[in-house]
Amino acid sequence: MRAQALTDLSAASFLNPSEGMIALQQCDACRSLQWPADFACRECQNPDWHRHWIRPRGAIYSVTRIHHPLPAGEAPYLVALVNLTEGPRIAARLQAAEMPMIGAQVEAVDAPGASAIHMRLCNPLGAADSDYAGDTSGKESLL
Amino acid sequence: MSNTIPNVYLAGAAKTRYRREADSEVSEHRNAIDAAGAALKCAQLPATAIDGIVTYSQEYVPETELARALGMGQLTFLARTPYGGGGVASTVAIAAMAIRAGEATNVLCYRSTNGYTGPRKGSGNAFKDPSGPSPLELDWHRSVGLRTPASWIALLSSRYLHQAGGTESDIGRLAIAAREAAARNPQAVFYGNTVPTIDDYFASRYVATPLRPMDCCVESDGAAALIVSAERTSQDPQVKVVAATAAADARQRHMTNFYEADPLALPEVHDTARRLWKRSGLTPDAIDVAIVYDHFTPFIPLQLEAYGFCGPGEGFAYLNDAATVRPVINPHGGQLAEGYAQGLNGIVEAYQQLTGTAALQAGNPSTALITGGVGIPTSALLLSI
Repeated sequence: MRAQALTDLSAASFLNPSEGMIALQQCDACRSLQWPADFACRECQNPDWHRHWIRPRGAIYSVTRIHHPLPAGEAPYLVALVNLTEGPRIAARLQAAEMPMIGAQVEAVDAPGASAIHMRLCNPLGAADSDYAGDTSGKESLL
Repeated sequence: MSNTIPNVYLAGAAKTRYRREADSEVSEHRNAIDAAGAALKCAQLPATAIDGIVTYSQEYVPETELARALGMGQLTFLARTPYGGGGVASTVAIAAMAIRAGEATNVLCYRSTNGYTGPRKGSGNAFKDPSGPSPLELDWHRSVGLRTPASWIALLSSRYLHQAGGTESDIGRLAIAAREAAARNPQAVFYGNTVPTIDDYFASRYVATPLRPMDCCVESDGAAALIVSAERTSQDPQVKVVAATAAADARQRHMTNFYEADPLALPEVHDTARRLWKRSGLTPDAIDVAIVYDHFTPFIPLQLEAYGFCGPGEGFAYLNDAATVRPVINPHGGQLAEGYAQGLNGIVEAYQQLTGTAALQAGNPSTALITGGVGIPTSALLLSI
């Protein structure tokens, strides 16, 4: 399709959190995959594209625990940037008891009624391939 | 080539007191008028000498209301620069272009914002200007729970600390240094306040890890104003605009540049820096005072890397090594602790340092660098006496 209105590119239409699925925007011309959606392919500027649905998996690129009380009652929660197996990087909610390590492998979970894709650690106890991602309480923690 | 371009001077500069007072009834208009009036007095110019005005696209105080209140005459040049604090040095760059093109002689640059009693930028809901985040960006990030500038910058900060080996103590020390300066700066929000210790820092809450409130610029009410002029004034020393440059990266997002291969590469900052040094013929070791845009603490070392004060990933070591010879950095307490005027108070501070009139005078500096906001189209300025 070709996006005519801003609403054609709204995040909600690229998300199916209940079934743990997201749609990458795939260029009809050069086949590039991108996230978030744009009016044209960021590689070749072709305006025609389709949704390429995946169940995301990947590695944590960065992560933060949000403490803002916006909206009230929701915080704290984790948001991660995840390098997908397919290439693009996405922002996702992360379900984890502890602050995870950067580099840790994560996968989608079904999150009925959620407004964003939720992910979890593939191996909650497993080591990542890089340093501790950061917390929270230790004065000299390696963020 | 450069000696064929006419010189342009910063003839005057002033800032108001920055405040966080819930019951304040001082309008953005009053603060703008007071700052601009004080800048004119500093420049020893009558309001009728002003023929150009430059401000930010996000400014709410109209040029003509300021002109009426101060008694200006004919104005031949008006312009605004986009992207908030990214454009701080663009105000001077635009004024200098107007002067060199013969469209104006004395240009007032101003920024007034009631960031405490008015709309809070930190809420993520105060972007009414087209050069704020686009509706699409807000939609994609709000849906995942990234609703505020602090939340956007937190993700970049976590990655930067991870890559550069920085710790929370490293950014905490920067936050405390800002508070320490502000406690002695009569125009600062935190003037007269007890300086927090590192234990106080660690005892404070998070906004979004690794950022605590002290790591975030202080939303405040206040204004700043500059007079950019074609001619030397009677002042001594003269503050010369050595270079003013700006750049935007074509793939830039609004503080949420998460999706590029390296979101910390900051191509717009590196391009601004490269052209600033080339145009000025100066190098970082010539800088006596550096006013580094400090919307969030981790972006101080990251900018020092981008402007070439140290190598990539060396920002924390550069700041922490007692043996390193460094410029004086944000001697006023910066936007972390003096006040937030989208960076224009930093240019005023540089002017005052160079003319020996700063509240917290740091020796006898002769060169100053001022950098613009990061994560948005940016700009930078070099001044010298």
